[in-house]
Amino acid sequence: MDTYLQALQTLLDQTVPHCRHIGLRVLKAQRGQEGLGAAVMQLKWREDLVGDPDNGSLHHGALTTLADTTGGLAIYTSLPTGTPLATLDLRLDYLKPSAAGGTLLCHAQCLKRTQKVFFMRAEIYQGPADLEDSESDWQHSLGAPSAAPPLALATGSYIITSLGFAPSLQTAAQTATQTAAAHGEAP
Amino acid sequence: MSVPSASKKPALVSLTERLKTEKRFQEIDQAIPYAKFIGLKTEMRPSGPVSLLPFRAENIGNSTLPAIHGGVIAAMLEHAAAIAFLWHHEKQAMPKPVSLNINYLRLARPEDIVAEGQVIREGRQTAHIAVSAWQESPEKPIATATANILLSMPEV
Repeated sequence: MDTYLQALQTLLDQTVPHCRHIGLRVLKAQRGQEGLGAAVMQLKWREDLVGDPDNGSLHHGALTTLADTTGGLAIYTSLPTGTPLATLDLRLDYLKPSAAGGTLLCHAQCLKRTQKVFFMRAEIYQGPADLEDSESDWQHSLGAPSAAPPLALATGSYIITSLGFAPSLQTAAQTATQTAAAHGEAP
Repeated sequence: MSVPSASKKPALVSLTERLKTEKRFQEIDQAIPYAKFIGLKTEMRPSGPVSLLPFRAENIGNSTLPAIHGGVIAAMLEHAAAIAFLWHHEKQAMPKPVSLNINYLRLARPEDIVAEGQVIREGRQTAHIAVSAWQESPEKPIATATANILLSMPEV
């Protein structure tokens, strides 16, 4: 995992407790052209996230958290550090239940930005059952996900708020680099 | 929580029926692992069931503000919609949400949240449910949602 992704993951783990709680991982993130960022995140199946015990599919709430966070991250990649971002609205279409076991992948893309408001679209796919952390297993490219139909579609708008301030990516990146150095790894 | 083996109904449908009959409907959350994971509870009030989400630090989505994660709020709204539907629906069919529309209206502070759903329209194939979630008072919703539900009638 490169330094930028590691910094984003550290940022999420430190400042978004629920993401750590549910096990969300950043797989890709890029600022994109004209500040229209994109991101890919993964959510591994866990028994405690099941919504329907009859088929073992994940609760829609877990899918919504995945879509909301990936969408927010896609937008956040193109914002100056410390910009406070809030979800204004979110719509989800549930196309089919997720499989019991395996991994879900969410691709999110910022489609339009204005001074205050950002529009994003996201899709959730059933990932390969054996997708592990190694990046070589991960062949999907941003904006061109797998040929299989998605499990869920999400569209949402986000707004830069006046409340508080968002965590600083720069600080998180520094922390990640320091952590890596402390463990004797190359940054 | 065992289900008679002769029954072809999904376990959750059978359980829902039994809990309603035994007036223990608020125990429905215990059958859904994710509901337990975020700490969702159902409370019976004279008007019907409401959903409660007691504050938990693990549900925070922004530790700087701090605020509860929008995904958790969405989960609660959808759960409250399903509970409202199950309570009002005579045939006990298990709802399958097709889509959910959420509006985030206020910052969800690190406190308990209450949500209540209302069945706006129930047709033969679909139902439309409106949900509102609040902290301080019902007049100050932190989020609202509408859910479209596909009715899956168990075979008689």
